[in-house]
Amino acid sequence: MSPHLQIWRWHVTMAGSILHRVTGVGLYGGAALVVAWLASLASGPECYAWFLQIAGSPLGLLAWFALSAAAFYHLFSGIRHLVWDLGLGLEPKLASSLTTASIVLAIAATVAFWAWLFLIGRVSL
Amino acid sequence: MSTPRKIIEGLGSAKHGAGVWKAERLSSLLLIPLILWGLWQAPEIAAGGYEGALAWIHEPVNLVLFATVLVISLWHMAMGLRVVIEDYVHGALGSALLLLNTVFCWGLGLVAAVSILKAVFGIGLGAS
Repeated sequence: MSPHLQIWRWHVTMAGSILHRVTGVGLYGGAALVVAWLASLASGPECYAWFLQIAGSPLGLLAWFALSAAAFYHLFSGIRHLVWDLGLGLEPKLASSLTTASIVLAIAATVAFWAWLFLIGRVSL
Repeated sequence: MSTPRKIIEGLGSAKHGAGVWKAERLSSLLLIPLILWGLWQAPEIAAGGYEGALAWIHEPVNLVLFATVLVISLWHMAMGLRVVIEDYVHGALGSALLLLNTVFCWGLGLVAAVSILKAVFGIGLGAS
């Protein structure tokens, strides 16, 4: 494990870093689901209907919701990392603010995305 | 293992160490617009059923962008999980997981390629 996880004071950049990895691993599984969608499409109407039934079930929707949240966080957090790679925003206070911003933006984008889906009638419970 | 120190001294790095770092950044940059496009398209596809999804993927623009999303994503996630495995899992298990990661990503790419050939170009066993 990471050294001294028990010793370091919990900090937002640390949480952001862990979250970046966790969402990355989650999206790895998400990519497998997207390929499963493609394979079911190639396998014909019955197989595709079966995939849609699972994907559209409450548990399926929960998985897509989690994946969209992971995608938005990994996206904003990734941009934050690219900014840091340019040598910008590395001062401790600014670095923390950028991390907090990536978390807040991810939550906002996820809520907005699903609100949009409900409003246009793509998703209903 | 036996290269004398005087031969390697002063030569600097192997000159390709930055390659992976650059690949990680390049794939990240490309994925910013690609993933937003994917999130925008997914609900449309989900709502269209079988016929709608087939029609969607038969659109050349969609097919090219979707294939690009897949290739860049698989490339990016293979590099990303490699770092995670290298950081947390060592020894024989770590080596096995690194191999599994590579095989899994190539496997997903292969399944995707075969699926596209069948769904879009009608190539494959039992294709209509």
